[in-house]
Amino acid sequence: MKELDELVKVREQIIPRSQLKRLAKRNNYAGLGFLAFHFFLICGTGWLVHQALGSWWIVPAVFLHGVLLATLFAPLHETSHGTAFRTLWLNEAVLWLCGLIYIFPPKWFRYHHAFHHTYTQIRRRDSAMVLPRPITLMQYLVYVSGLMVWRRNLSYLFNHAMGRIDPAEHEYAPVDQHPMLVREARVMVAIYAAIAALAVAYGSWAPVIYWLLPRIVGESYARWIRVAEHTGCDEGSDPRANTRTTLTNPFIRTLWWNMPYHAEHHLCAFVPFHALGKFHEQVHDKVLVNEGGYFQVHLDLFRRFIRLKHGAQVS
Amino acid sequence: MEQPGKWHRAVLVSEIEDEDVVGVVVGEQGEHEVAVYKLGGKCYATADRCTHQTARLSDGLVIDDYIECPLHQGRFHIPTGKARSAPVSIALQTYPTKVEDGAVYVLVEDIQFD
Repeated sequence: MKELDELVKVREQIIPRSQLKRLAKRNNYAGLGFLAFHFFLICGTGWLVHQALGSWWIVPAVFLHGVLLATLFAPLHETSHGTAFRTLWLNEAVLWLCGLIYIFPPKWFRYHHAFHHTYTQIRRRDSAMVLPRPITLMQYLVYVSGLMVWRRNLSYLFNHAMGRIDPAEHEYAPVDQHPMLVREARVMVAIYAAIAALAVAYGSWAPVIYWLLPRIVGESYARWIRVAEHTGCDEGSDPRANTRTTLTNPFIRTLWWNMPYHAEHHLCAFVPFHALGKFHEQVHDKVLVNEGGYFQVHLDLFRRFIRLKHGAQVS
Repeated sequence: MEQPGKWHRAVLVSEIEDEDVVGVVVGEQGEHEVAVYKLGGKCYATADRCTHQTARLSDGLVIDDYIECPLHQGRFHIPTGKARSAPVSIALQTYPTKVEDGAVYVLVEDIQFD
């Protein structure tokens, strides 16, 4: 496979296997620590929402809570790689929990995401290509709103629950795993239905206030962060150019389980999140790094929109 | 009962670190890509290509009794070749091994080329 061969060749040029092996060591402590911190913050913002009920403070509180819930994409992503914890069942349990809260079929995501790693930034192959060039302002706004993602994910969830697997999914999800994808979706839908039934029975709006509404509002933050990972990077299989690391402050890095070190992650996905900082120190001059942070990345993209508006070719 | 195939010298035991893997090519015409592992002093061999998307497993990571694919992190049980965690679902070919004179030998069936 051409893309895979190129990835391995580049990786061997950049970092020797002996160093990678040291970086790739797994443990359970880092993941449990990050997870505890994450859920502590989510409980905290949930408490803020509770305190703000009945006042206008509910608006920022729900947004903040939604942002925290949206960052659950980070442990969902890391566990989908199986690198969050050394212990397999712990990985799978956290993958499932995060997928359930995030409303994202977790095992389906694993196959979908694996394909993205194989064909990163290869047009018509990359399963998660975000805003391929040329990009229009409208496309940008629609993507960042998260609306299309909801449409896509819910359609997968309900189609799978009804036993329907789209032929396009055959490309990344092996046929022998389709029954598992159907089972997964059915279990998720059953759990959601049970939560809805309990809410109706008790006349409670809690699932809407503390979960659904913040999830919908917060998704735009997740999309905004994710635009920085590949959008505007080269199209092609060279990991030095098709993925971007975005330097940011330690708090945001922690919330995203070090995923801002995205170029390093794509260069070698078996290095766990907790070692990506060290990995970055070793390869930062060999991969694409934006030192100006997320606003800088988006500003660069906006400059391109303006150029497009005046009829110039987007670079 | 004698197993079909032929023993091929693959690698020196001393060339494999414990809990690690080395990729070799064996067979009359170099037709078998084999990953040779050392776990707790014992040697094992499997096909070197992942059954999911053909990544080279000898570039991967040995974790306990499992080899983890370097591309998508699917895991295979080294002694049996069984697929243990997604995205891998098809078992890996395993090969019998023996150690003689400090070298690991792997039993593979040679492919007849016309």
